[in-house]
Amino acid sequence: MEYTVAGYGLIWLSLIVYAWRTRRRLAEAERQLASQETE
Amino acid sequence: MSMTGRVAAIVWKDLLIEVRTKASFHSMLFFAALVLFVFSFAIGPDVPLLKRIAAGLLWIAIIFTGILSLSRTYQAEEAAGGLEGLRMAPGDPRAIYLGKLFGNIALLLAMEMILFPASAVLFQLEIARHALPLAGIAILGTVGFSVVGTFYAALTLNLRAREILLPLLLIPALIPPLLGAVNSTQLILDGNPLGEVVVWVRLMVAYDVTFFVVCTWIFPIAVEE
Amino acid sequence: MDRRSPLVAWLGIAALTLMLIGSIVGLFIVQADAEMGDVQRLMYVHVPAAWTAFLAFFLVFIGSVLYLVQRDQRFDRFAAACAEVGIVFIALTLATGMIWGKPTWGVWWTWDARLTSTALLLAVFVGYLAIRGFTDDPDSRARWSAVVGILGFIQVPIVYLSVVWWRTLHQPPSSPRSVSSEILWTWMLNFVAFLLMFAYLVAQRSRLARVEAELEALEAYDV
Repeated sequence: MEYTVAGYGLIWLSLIVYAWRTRRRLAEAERQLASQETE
Repeated sequence: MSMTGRVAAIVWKDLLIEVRTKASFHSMLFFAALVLFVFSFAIGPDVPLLKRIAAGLLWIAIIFTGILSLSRTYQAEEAAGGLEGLRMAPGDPRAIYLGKLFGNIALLLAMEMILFPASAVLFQLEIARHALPLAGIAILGTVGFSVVGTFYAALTLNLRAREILLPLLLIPALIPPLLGAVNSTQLILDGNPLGEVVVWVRLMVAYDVTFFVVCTWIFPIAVEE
Repeated sequence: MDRRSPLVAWLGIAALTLMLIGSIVGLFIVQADAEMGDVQRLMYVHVPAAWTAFLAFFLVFIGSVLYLVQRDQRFDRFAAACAEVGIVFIALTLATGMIWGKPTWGVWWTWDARLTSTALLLAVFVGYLAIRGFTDDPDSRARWSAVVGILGFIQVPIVYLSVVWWRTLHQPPSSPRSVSSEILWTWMLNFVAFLLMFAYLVAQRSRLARVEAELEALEAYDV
């Protein structure tokens, strides 16, 4: 059962990490864009 | 100039360069032999084992050698600034692809004509009585390799890391013809009933035809400005 | 321009909720497999992940074709987003397949047909992202990766077939196991959950690509 839980955990971990990373990059990029546009 | 004319001209020009310098043919052949040697050393002098995997080793040598020589496919044009000229010349850019394709096939087949007997010596195989079927397999496998290889070579031509990108893109694509060629070769050498070989031959033919059509069709997009 | 679309946020919440339900069902509610035990529960996520990955690849293909026909960068960004998210799912498919394999076969890897072709599909995805990574000009990048995407998609069934033949011609095929409706429903549940998550992630990734493109365009004028 440990293997099974590890597998499920891996899926959750990977997807959450990917989602979080993408959102951070998006926020950073949008911030940059906003500051560029006000120049 | 007609399409056939342009293709023939490209093949002829490359062939002339090749015949005059003989550079790539000799180094390709030597490199392929070296690959066979290196693998044999790494695996060890277990002759029955080597005989069992000889078909695999042979086709690995052909593929590695082929990949190295592929990156030189357009080199002559590049050096002379010629790819631009070829591209801007009127007519179908597909002529370039077909010309390079036939040139690559011819070069590889010529090398294999020596490499096959060489492997027979190294791994104690009896290829003489299977010469014709083996030649057929060699042609099918080489065509499959060259069709996709010539295409990806053009695609990665202008990229920074093309020496690593070409194998990276090419090798997964080559699994079907590799499996087909290796298994057919092994089965023929084992004298197996041709029943099973037919399955692999059909795979290789399907692969060759499919990608010949697709790559020829889509080539102009790969090289357009 | 409305940058914070509430639809996308709701998509994310729905995805998370459904994934949670799917995991609880798969881990606790469904009966453990009679022969294989609890490890079989991994199949309830492994199979849907595989389906999602294949869909992702299909969408990369569609996006590539649409780009080449319309030359609209939005299709290229969509294809690239699907590829990046798709690679996450194919890697998860491979990982869960291997994790299932260890207690089942005793080893992390056998040259099993499905595992091997999954690995090859991953390689094709990697090639697609690699050619994007090494091309700076947006138009060339879109064009070349579209070609790679199309060729790669055509390769997939042939590669899969050849690997299956490679294995089955050397060993008898395993007897097919019947699939109960309970199993089917759990697969469907997790598949929909993954689809929603996939859609959410692609939406976010596409938006990121669009903002980055706008930044690139601005910097081009800013010199």
